[in-house]
Amino acid sequence: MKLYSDSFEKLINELSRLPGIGPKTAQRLAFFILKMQKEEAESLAFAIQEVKNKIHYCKVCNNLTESDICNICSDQNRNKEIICVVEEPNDLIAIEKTRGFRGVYHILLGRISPMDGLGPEDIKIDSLVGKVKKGGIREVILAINPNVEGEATALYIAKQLKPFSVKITRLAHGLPMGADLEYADEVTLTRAMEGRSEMFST
Amino acid sequence: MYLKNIILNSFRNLGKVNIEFGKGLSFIIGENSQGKSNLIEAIYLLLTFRSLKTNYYEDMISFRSDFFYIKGLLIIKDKNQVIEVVGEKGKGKRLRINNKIQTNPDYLGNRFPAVIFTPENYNIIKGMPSHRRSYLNFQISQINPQYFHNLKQYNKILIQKNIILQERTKNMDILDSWDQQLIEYGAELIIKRDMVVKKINSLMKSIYKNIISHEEIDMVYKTFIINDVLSDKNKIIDIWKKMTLKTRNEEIKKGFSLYGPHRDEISFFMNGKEVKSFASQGQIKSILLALNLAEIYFVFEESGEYPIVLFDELFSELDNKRIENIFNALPKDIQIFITEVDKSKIKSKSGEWFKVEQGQVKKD
Repeated sequence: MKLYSDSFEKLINELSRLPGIGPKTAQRLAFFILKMQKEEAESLAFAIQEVKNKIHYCKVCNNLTESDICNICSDQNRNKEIICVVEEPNDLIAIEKTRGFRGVYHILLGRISPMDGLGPEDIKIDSLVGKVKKGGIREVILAINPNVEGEATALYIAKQLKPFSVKITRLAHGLPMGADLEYADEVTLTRAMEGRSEMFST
Repeated sequence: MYLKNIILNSFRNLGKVNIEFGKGLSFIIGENSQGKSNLIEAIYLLLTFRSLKTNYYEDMISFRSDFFYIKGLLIIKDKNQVIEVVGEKGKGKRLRINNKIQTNPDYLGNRFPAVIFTPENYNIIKGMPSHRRSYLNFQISQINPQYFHNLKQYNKILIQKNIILQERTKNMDILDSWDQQLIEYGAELIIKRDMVVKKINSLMKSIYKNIISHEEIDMVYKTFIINDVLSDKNKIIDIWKKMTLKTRNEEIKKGFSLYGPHRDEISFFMNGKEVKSFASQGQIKSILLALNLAEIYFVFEESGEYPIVLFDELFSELDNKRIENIFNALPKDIQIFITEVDKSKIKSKSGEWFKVEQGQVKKD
């Protein structure tokens, strides 16, 4: 027995492809869309079309942008000698929110993970190496997620950049601010202990 | 630490159960297939979030139900801990501690240590090497959460590395990035395994001599790196790195990782001869019990707390003298659950008695 009409079932199928959306939620959303005003539904469809048409990756750093080069890369006040390497555009947003970083970015658009079919050639490593090779870069900060895939990616990039005279650093791992030592898990605490830093260092 | 109360619903053949336990010995008496072992399994699952026979939780749900529920009240240093394990058809199993859902329930560290004997334990000696590795991983994880974390990372790195080896993709440069991490985490595993096997072994040897028999027994850890450097992380890393470079082509040809703790073994010896190849069922049981007793003291030495002890079918194949010796060797402030068919076999004056009949558990 067929429960839904073809077009309705198609909508449910499309929605359930979104991350975090299971078949039940997809069904709920589809019913909601069905009940929407026609203009509202069309505006949703248009918004989806528009991002796909207008937004693409920045030619310099792979950030999301509507022009050729993103706001950060075209900002004259940004220090182009320091590149912060992140996995995804949302990592960039997280760092930008701190307002503490005045350099530029390079977004890899992924990380090395053989089980997901992603090797070094499948993410934007070559273009990073190209930038460093061209010169004028003082420091590359590897702000890649601290898991085994992120670590493999960082180690590989560091190896590729080693021949050039550029400082390569990575983010410290350790305790979150405001945390109580007593409640920190042992893994984090061990890492924080290993990555301890000297006070009053000169 | 002791389990004061347990509530069960629809766990295997057990119906609705709500019982209080004492701090010391609890004897669980019942004919075969009435539910004694299921009660032991429920307690073990509650404490460790691990199952004994099957890894598939739906097998633990009573055929009359869509879920099972276990709730226990544990007293640790006068503090109450309420643990709940729920398994629901199609939804997996979940763990709540003091009403808080645990997002990482497989994480064993700082949980509630348990020592168990079941007929499955024979696999520690007679089973595949993977049984012995998982036995060892469990023992160490119970007292060291960092080890459990390292093990999970190691296994993930190993999978990733093996995929590259199998695919023989053009860019073999990337192997370095995985090997470096594999060696780093693997070295930690080796150091801990070596240390823990030595500790448990020295406890087990003397327990065996004192309470079972005069034979010299030994549990020996075997890895791919020579024994005398196993406490030195830098040396392990150094040796392993050299081996990796030397054997890289062979690894690429074979398509899997040749060296590492994923291929470790532990062996048991009696007077210098490997137990697996000659010992009788009775001798193996004696060694396994000495091992259990060693685990109890090991957990106590490492955590300052005695584990909860679960003995399922302990008495079969053992004579009365040995049973008595084992009881005498157990520490006093420890909670022990023992299943038995034949009540007359137990000569203990202390302890509480429970009867299991057709899925019902009652105080006797």
